[in-house]
Amino acid sequence: MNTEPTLFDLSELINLSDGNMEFVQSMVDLFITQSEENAELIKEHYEKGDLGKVKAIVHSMKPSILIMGIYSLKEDISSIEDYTRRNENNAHLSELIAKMEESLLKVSQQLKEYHVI
Amino acid sequence: MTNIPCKYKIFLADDNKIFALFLMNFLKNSGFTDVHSFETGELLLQRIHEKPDIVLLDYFLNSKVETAANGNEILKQVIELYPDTYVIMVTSIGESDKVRELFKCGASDYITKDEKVRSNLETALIRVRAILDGRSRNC
Repeated sequence: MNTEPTLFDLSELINLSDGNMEFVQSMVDLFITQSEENAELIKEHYEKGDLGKVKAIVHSMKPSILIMGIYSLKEDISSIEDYTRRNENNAHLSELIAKMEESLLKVSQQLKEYHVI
Repeated sequence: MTNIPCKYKIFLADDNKIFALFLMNFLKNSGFTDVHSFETGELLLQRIHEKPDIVLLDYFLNSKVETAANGNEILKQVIELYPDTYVIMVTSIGESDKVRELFKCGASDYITKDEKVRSNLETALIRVRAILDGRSRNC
């Protein structure tokens, strides 16, 4: 039995979709694709030292995170934004980036295993 | 949420596909049947000659296309070409300090992408329908 906590909460998405579960499924599918892409891009740009691009991607993720109820990432996203806005590349940022990548891949995996309809 | 059919044409530019999809779905459920989504402001401007009644513009539009202009630049171009366009800027938390500048550049309204995004949108749509319906009665 999987005892890892569920990283997402679709209740708000279902509410915003007026119970249209096919639409919810299409949003989930899109999020899975996006989160895997974003995990890779964040890592790639961070390794190249391009904090501007990291900031742009992380910023663009914010509404998706809200819609998908991934509240655990909210603070980390804010922290990454703060560091990258100030162009501060430090050990904490490095940890946050690694954690973000891991979390995005985990939530993507959990969503793949979740049956909307 | 009202879903009375609404004749107004809406263009929206947002580089986050999930949020754009959510907006499209919400607008259609609200009765707006003529809704078009663009990933960048430049793509929106290519069709601006279609004269949308309402434009929803994200503030930051360059996460996917690095050279894409931001929402405030696109706003200025839309208003310069079609000053009567009702432009709603879409911002994230922490950017409300830019809001005054956006209104100076011709934005008609703004909404924030936060936990209250649904009610923010509903209120903005009620306002825009009231204003545009009022304009068409006066013509």
